[in-house]
Amino acid sequence: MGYVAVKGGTIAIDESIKRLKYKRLKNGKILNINGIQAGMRGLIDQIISESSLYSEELAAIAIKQAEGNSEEAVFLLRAYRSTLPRKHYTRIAESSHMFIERRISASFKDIPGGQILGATYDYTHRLLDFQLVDESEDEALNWLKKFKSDVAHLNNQEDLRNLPKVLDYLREEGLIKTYENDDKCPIDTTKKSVEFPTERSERLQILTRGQTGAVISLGYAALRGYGSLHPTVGELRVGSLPLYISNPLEDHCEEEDDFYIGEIIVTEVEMFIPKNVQEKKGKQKLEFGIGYGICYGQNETKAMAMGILDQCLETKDEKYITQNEEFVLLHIDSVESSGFMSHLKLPHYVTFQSKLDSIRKTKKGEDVKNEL
Amino acid sequence: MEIDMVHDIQTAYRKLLICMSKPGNIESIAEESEKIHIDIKFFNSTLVLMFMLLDSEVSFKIVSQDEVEISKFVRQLTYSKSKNMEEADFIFILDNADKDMLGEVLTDAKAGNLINPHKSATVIVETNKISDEEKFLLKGPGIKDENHINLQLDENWLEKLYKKNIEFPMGLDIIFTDKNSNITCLPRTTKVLRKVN
Amino acid sequence: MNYNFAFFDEGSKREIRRATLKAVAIPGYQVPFASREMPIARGWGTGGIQLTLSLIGRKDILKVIDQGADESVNAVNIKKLIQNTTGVKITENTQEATIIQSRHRIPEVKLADGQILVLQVPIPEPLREVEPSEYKTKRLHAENEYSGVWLMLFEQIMKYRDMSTGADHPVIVNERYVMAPSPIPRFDNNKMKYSESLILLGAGREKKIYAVPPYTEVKSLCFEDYPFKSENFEGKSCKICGSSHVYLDEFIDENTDEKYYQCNDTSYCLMKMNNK
Repeated sequence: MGYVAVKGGTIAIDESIKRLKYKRLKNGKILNINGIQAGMRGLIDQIISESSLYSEELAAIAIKQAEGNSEEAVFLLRAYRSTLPRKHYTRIAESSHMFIERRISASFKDIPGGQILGATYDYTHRLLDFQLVDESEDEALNWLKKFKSDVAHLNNQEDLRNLPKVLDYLREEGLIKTYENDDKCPIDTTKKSVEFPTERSERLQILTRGQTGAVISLGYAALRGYGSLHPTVGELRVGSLPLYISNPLEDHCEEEDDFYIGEIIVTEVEMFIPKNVQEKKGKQKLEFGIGYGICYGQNETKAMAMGILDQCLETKDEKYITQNEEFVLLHIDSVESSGFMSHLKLPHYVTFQSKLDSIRKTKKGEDVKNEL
Repeated sequence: MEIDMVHDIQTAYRKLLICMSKPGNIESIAEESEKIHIDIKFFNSTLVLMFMLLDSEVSFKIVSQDEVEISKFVRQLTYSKSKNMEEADFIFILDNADKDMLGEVLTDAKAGNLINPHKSATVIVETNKISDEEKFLLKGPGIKDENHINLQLDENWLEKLYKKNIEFPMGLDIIFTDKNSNITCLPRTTKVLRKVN
Repeated sequence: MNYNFAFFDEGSKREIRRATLKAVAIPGYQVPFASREMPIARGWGTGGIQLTLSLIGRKDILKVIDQGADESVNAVNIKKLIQNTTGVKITENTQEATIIQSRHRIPEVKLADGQILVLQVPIPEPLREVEPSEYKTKRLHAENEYSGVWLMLFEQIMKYRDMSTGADHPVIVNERYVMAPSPIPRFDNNKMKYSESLILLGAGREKKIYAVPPYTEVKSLCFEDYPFKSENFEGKSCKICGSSHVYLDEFIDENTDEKYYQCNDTSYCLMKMNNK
């Protein structure tokens, strides 16, 4: 009779997975994917932004599977994203042609095209609505019917696809520096690992994929004193952007021959941040720097924090930790931070034994020394 | 039977990895190469290497009398883009290239820099026959004591290779393939000596 | 849902393979790679898994261990993922395996020509303790400027009268790059030197791949008067199979409160028992 290995590990894992499923099903109720897609817009937008995979349906499946745990849901989507072949890059999307749903500026009382409040929690009172407990589908459909008929009677003159950028207005006045277009090909950090010092395209990509809480925390720290910035929201837009691709086999493809592949909802923020610029002869000039933030879905706080951090990482003042690109960029990814954190739960007894041996060895040396 | 882009490329890659980690070892990718039924003006084994290594993330350069035609073909098959000698990530010196092109490639190809020595070109050379005859002596990492190889090439390139790779960690890594779909590698760590009778 | 063989699309495998070939050509140097997300968490071996998935084929025989054990939950989990996406044969027998993925140990059985060892690495940068910035450590490696790590060892000697590294004691590869061997115990460091098999190391979260080809010089950092010492198991042996001169795990007997030891490499122990 030979010796065989004890297969405890496999059985333990199988049971653990069963127990996890039990937790999701124990109340005898399951969530409907359509229901999640319809009613969990906020969580879906957060997830698609952090996983950088734009699909509300896939996000809804991930949310169901993860029981609403955003760390797990983002993990699921990112892993799924890894299996998808990346075939094309889109044409540059011009956000000035965004089909606006919401558009505000804190820098001016009024702006060409107007302050369009759109759908936002900003003006709601955060009072828990207990009527939602008994909300019925009929009630919902009735409300919807009435809303649609009210809206149909409105006569809106505004061309929501061509609202001018507040930034352009300031540029025309000469209050904001104009730059040469930098048409350098952006680096895709999901295909090539980041190298320091980074290009701006890498920073923006890492920020937009960042864990919402982490990005907001660091933006907050920058505002509070660890960043020396005093930003104002120049413009915040939420709306849909159409996306186009050109023929991949042709070297030169005219835009009119492009293929339209769909549209995405994005939140775009341009922050105006006054900064001191050194001129010749020791003089200093006050200028507006622009902090840019953009996210999939409606993620306003994150986009604003991203704009703040964008400007921080352009300024690179060594005094402030929020302006240190390695510190900011290497610690805001949800999958990486939670993965490494949770790896501490893995067995470490060999490394621990090794350290124990070191400590015992040096202690022996100490004892010998003390005896002498 | 058609070449399987998952499994045949994987088995060919494992053999290439053996060659790169043990310079002077000769492996055969004939089994995979024989499954190529496209009419091409270069070795089937070279095309297998192209499928394995090229895609839209990297660039290549074809050194051959039929450069333009073959470059277009490779681009269509792999979506990889062709670049000049100094920038290309993978440089293919085909059988019908001028004999002194190997020396030129070894001089001009990018060898990386001290901070990023991996950003160097990989050179793939088509040659008549690879064998373990004792023409060149090889020493270095991956080689137990010493190895021998014969590549049926003029020796003028040895000086140029030496000059390029003396600045280790910068340097070029070379893959050789022959008419019989044999492959062998000389990574930049290998010292190549001419055998004196 | 049907996944591609070995989970990744061919483009991802291609990128890992290109990085691996460069890593082998520059022993000990950390080659950056894109490091795709995996269904297993970062920090749990995704670097090792990506390497294994880029290598593995239908005819391979895979062994996965964690802390020396085949049945450790992490090893089992990884084996499950790889087997579900490839269907390859799994083994606990070190000699039978063609690919061995391991976290924190090199097996006791000497590896042979034709086997590939894949080590999981949490922190690939051996200089990280002395220099937190990646920008700076890249340049220290470029300039062969390793005084920082020598200083760290020197300070340990000053404080504790000997070097006090536990596992992951830094090594110099091919007389050029200082490398983190991964948190293998010092006991295993010498197994990297002039090995007959290729050793690949992958750090998924930090996005680096590096390699030690066979027959390559690997020296653990030490001083002439303070030679490199591995963990000491003098006078100790495995309670189950009786082996000494292997890495041992320490246990306390519940009843007698006495210390006893067992082979850390569980398949090695089993093999010894079956050969008796």
